[in-house]
Amino acid sequence: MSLLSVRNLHKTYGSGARALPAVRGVSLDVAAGETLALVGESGCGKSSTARIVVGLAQPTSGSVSLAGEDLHARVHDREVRRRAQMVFQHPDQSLNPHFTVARTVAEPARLLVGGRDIEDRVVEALRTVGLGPEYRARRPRELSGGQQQRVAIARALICDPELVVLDEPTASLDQSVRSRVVALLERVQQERQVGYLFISHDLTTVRRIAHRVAVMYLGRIVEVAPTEELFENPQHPYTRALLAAAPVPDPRRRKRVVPLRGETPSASDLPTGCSFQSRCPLVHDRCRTTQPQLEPLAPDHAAECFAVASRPEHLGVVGSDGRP
Amino acid sequence: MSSPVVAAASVSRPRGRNAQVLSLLRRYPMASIGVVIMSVYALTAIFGPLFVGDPLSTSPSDALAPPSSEHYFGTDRFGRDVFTRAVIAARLDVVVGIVIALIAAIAGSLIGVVAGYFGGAFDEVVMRVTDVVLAFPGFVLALILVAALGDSIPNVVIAVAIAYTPYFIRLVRARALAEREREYVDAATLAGNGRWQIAFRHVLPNSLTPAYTQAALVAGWAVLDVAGLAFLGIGIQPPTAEWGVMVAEGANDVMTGAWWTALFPGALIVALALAFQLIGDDLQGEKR
Amino acid sequence: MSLLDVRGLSVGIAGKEELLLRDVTLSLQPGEIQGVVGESGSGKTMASLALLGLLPPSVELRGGTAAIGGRTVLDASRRGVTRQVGDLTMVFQNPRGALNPTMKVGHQVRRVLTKVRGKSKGEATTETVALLRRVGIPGAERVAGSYPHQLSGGMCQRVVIAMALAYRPRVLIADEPTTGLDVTVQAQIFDLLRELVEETNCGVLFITHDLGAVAEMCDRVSVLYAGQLMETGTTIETFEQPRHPYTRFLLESLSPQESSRLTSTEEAGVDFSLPGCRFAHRCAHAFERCSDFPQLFQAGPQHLYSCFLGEEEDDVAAQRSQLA
Repeated sequence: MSLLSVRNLHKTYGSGARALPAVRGVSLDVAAGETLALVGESGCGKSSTARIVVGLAQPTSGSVSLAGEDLHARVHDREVRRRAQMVFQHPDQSLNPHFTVARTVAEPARLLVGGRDIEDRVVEALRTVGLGPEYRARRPRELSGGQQQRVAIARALICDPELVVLDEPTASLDQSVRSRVVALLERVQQERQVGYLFISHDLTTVRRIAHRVAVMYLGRIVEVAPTEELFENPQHPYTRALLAAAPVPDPRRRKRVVPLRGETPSASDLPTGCSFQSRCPLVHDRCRTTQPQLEPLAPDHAAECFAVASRPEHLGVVGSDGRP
Repeated sequence: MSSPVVAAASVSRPRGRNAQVLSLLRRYPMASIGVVIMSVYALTAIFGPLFVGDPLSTSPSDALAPPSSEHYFGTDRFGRDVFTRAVIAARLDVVVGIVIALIAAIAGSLIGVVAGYFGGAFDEVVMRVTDVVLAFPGFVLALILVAALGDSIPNVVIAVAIAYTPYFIRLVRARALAEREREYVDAATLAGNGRWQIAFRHVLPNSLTPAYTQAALVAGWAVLDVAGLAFLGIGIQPPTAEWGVMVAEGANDVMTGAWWTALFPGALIVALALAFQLIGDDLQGEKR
Repeated sequence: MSLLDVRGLSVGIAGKEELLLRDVTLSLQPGEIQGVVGESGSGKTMASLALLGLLPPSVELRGGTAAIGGRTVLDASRRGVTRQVGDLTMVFQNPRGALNPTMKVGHQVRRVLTKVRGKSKGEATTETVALLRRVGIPGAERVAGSYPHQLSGGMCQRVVIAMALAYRPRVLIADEPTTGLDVTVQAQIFDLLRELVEETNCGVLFITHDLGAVAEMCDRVSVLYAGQLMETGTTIETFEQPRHPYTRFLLESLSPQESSRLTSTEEAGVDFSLPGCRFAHRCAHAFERCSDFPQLFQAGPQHLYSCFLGEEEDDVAAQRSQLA
């Protein structure tokens, strides 16, 4: 049984003519000790999904269960809170500027678990993230961005959660710091078998840390596959474009192809049929009338596209420039 | 990405105490003057009463004596030493100003953070009430309230504090509205805080910055208001040694040439209000 | 002759000894895109502000000269040296912040044309639409009448680039022009910049922390660390045969294996007060000579680096070849 199981999740902000469907039928699973990356561009609904998964927002419909229990039915239960924690995108904003490091890290332990040895557990949590006990009395403004993010990770880990949602945890960090934070997250996962839902648009980091990747576009998962499979053999035209657009740090592999014209349309004004139709190089009539569903293409590999589902012979013969 | 200037500042070595004081003076020149004036008042308020006599002792033979080495500020029509009374009054006026600012700041911040963080009907009601209160000039409102509550020092303090509370409600509410959207509030929810705990432990401390400078300004205005009310014969009553009362009593004698009876306490009020204003203005300028 | 020639540029905080930029030398050819790479605090933004004469009040120019097309535009020893219109302009990191929120974007572009280039109103209006069309904005007439908040981040950046083009600059400084934009939009902006360079033959200083973007975009690259120019060379040379230990460290931090034993920049801190090489306190190869400030050594016709180590290595190699 998977640790996290999300089924047919919908989230619509506002209502009536101004309704903004941010998440439109997302289903995903994360096993213990597994990292599922949720990638996509701004406005694709990945952050909304993350907030719902940890109980910071209520879904419009659909279910989130953690180790078999309905998360949203018991969201105020301390035990449920303890099991699902989150690391945020901006370490300079996710720490209360008035709290010392010790107070920040101790807070979940104090409120969710209790007990007498909280101080010891704070030292232990800080040690796990590579910070010595001398950091306890510091305040966020006295720390660098990387150190702040380590504190935020210590706060998420102190209660021994089973699932940690990582919302672009390395986006605001320098390259060399980014590597170290990713290494830290990998080590913690190996030691504790914690499941990660890793939200990111940074494909280099995703390829390094994730076991499986789900690609989101306009509130739907358009493709999901094991990491290497997705990077080596992307099927959905959007996934191909996304991979082709990401710069590769190798000046000899320069590509001068612009994989995708135009920009993501607004979620408030979605067309009928496939949401990618306005930018898709493979669009045909059926895409304009019918919403495609995730169809399995290979074990663990599914994509939401008529063009690839109807032409399985094309599997594996797709150029890396995003064109079949 | 932080700018190099910030990075450079964070690695600079700690400077000497003198250098620190100098740089503070450079950054807050006006506030520094205000702090010096305030210190004189504070010292007078604390230690002054040890060095002067009874502010109420009269000596009709010395009535309306001009300033001299014996009576630095002269005497009033009852022969009371104006300097003695002015020194004794410092404690009352300074304390009243600060206490009013504190009450208004505390009450306003608590109401403001609840309105800003929770929003909803409570916020609506609070905003409409502050609209109404702010429609009156603070002094007039305080005047009406004292008239209703009755003349006594605590009633004056409460009345003036009520008149200034809406300023703090507005400031703290606006800040709390912005703070509640920040990531640390979500993080606090995940750490197991309830909504009230988040409002008071997390959002409130981070929403107070604008209230600090406002408190300095309000303390100055409160001194003026209390003295003004006393001058009109409302609130603090004669023969209490209070600058506003002294100005009111002395005003009758200024016509006959005894300028010292009203001038000295009046100047003391103005200088104190000015000191608060300088501190508040300078800090507020920094904040922007 | 190079288009932009910066020599010995030094910049410091007023009233302090430390230099935020120390003896920085850059040269840019017409039609060249040169990457200026560095982590937080490296001085890459400070260098461009110095060139534009936009240093913050607390920062002062301590030394150096800059010339565009052979004509001096900046000289620390002389006051009153000014740029001419069209020498130099900048595309900023945050396009929305660079546009006036209360003015229609077409009007903002038109103002550059009328005030700076002295065009008549009619000419300027026609050219504004042409420029907006040139930077790939669909429905240019309609967009010209929009306010910045009505446009996406990618559209705003296109408008900013159109404004920059209106100056007809010989040198364009692009300061992290795609930070905060989606990768598919980033690829479009990169493509646009490349086209513009080919068309106008201007030189671009491309400031970034993303080595992938450098590999994708740049002909040459200059690496800055703590205000010191570490290495400069063609992109291929620098990526394949980095001579400076810091460049190697940056490139290594990209790889999934965390092979580097060096601490990340943030954890080590950037020490602007070091008299010698500013990377020395973190460098695994540091030796006595590093307490002196290393001048630039030549590794190839266009490949310079600031490290004594290479010279030692060259000496050793020379001795070996003599022995053999």
